[in-house]
Amino acid sequence: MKFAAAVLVLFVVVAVAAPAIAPHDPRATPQSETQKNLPPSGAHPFGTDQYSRDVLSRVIYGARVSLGVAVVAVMLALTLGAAIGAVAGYAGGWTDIICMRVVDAMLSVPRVLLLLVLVASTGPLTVGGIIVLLGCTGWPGTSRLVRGEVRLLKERDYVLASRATGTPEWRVFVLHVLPGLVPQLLVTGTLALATVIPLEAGLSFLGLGVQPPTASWGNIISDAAGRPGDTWWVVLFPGLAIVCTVLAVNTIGERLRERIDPRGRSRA
Amino acid sequence: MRRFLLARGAQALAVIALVATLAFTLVHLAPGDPFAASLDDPTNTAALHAQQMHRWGYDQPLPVQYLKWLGNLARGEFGWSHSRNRRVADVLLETVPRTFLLMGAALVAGVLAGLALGTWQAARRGTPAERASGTLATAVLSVPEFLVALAALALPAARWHLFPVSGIADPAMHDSMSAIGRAWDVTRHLVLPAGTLALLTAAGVSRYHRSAMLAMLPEEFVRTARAKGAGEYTAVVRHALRNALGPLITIVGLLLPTLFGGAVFVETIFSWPGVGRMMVEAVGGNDYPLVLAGVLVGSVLVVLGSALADVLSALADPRLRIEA
Repeated sequence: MKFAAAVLVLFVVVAVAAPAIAPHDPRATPQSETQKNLPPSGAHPFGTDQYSRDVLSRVIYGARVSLGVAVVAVMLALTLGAAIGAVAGYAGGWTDIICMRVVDAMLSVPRVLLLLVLVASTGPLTVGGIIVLLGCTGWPGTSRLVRGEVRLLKERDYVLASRATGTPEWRVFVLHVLPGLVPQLLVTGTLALATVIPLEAGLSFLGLGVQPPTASWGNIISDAAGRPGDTWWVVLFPGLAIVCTVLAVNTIGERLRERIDPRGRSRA
Repeated sequence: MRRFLLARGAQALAVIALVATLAFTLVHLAPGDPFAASLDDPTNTAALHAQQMHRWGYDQPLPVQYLKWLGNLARGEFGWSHSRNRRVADVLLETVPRTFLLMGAALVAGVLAGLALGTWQAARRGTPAERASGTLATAVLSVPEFLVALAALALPAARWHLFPVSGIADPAMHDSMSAIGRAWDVTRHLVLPAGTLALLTAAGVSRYHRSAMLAMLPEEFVRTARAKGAGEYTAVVRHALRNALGPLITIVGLLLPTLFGGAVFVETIFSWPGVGRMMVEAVGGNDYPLVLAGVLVGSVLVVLGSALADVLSALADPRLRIEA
């Protein structure tokens, strides 16, 4: 847990301090044949890609994009999920039925396919666009959770009391229902990060996510040249960054879950 | 049981219809059209563009297009693929069986390996080797599919030349081979892409199965078996393993969406000409009918898979039938 947190903090620091740390301009493409596809060396610890760009600098700047996209997309997904779940839970009736059928439908399509459809309709994306797409495909799980909790709590005495004093419904939700959900949302959000980071990387790798020359961990990998494995450093280092981050986030998420649900501890 | 089957079937159909509607709306409401990319081509004038839009019915009101699309779907007609200049149905007839082959092989291999690993882990709980294997399984689950596929492509295929780098069959020799030779040829091409997906499936299955087994081992019937002089193997495999298999069906059903999502990347990287690669190419080519068909196939596969898992679980365990 401590190690995982340390890894994550390290990556966040790298992302924030990217301009200070990166040895080269991540977009600089020296027009010299001798700088192409260089293996790792003192001047380029992670080597260079097929456009002569320094891979280390691209991984450092990629941390900004990859982590930033993932964090904002997950926050968007949680907000949407909480809002839709709350509406469905409070309204009940047809609103509830429709919302939950849409949730079923969205959960039954592999998320990658959903994203492919969205990308097909929007064309090449900006970073903001990717965040919106990842956020808009990530809310169903959260909305189910929030809806369940709202239905459970909305008849409780303290909620009824608050409503009886004339507090508007949305304030009742924010003041009395939402706070109880924070631990669960924290766990859901952390574990969601561990699915969103590979998704963004995968889409960017396919050329459908973050567009070059902006570096993300996924699209750096697609700049490996020649036969697979020839320029292994272009794949390995950003790949390690993805795996380490996901592993760290997963570890922290699982620990948080055990902490809020002690029954889960015996299973580990 | 019949009521359960009907209810589950109706639910599956409703979900598929909703997915179809959502996907259609998303694709058509968004800006851009299937012929927009060719607008950069100077020979493609605005008039020609309008003509193409008209010819394929993209200038009609959306509800009309939607109803026509649904009507065609009901007759098994998926439309015309602009990027491949073929009927979408023909493309699907080619690609769907290949994805089935890939996912089927991955599921069988992955589930068997996961069961073996999970059983072993439960029986050897707490030993250093068991702990290491558990950590390894968690680590494997944190590696995105496309990285596993790239590693498999880089080392066993490109560096060591153990397996072919891409495709489903040898492009030059396949047609001149005997039946056995062809089967061997496809198998050789299948090993790495299916192995990639199987590895991730095995890691997932082993985690669930380990806890299922750990719940079974302290049960009285396992103790009874041991007390009656059954060996460790008989007690664990014959008695505990059999009873721990129940949730497996559900787990496989839950794994299907992940597996299909993984197939998109694996097929693209290994140039396996299935539905996943077709989808990625269709997105690149603005081929709306092909994209929609791909989503439909994917969701039908997943929805039918999980419906089947529910039905099988209900058959295996009558207690589950009451809920529906």
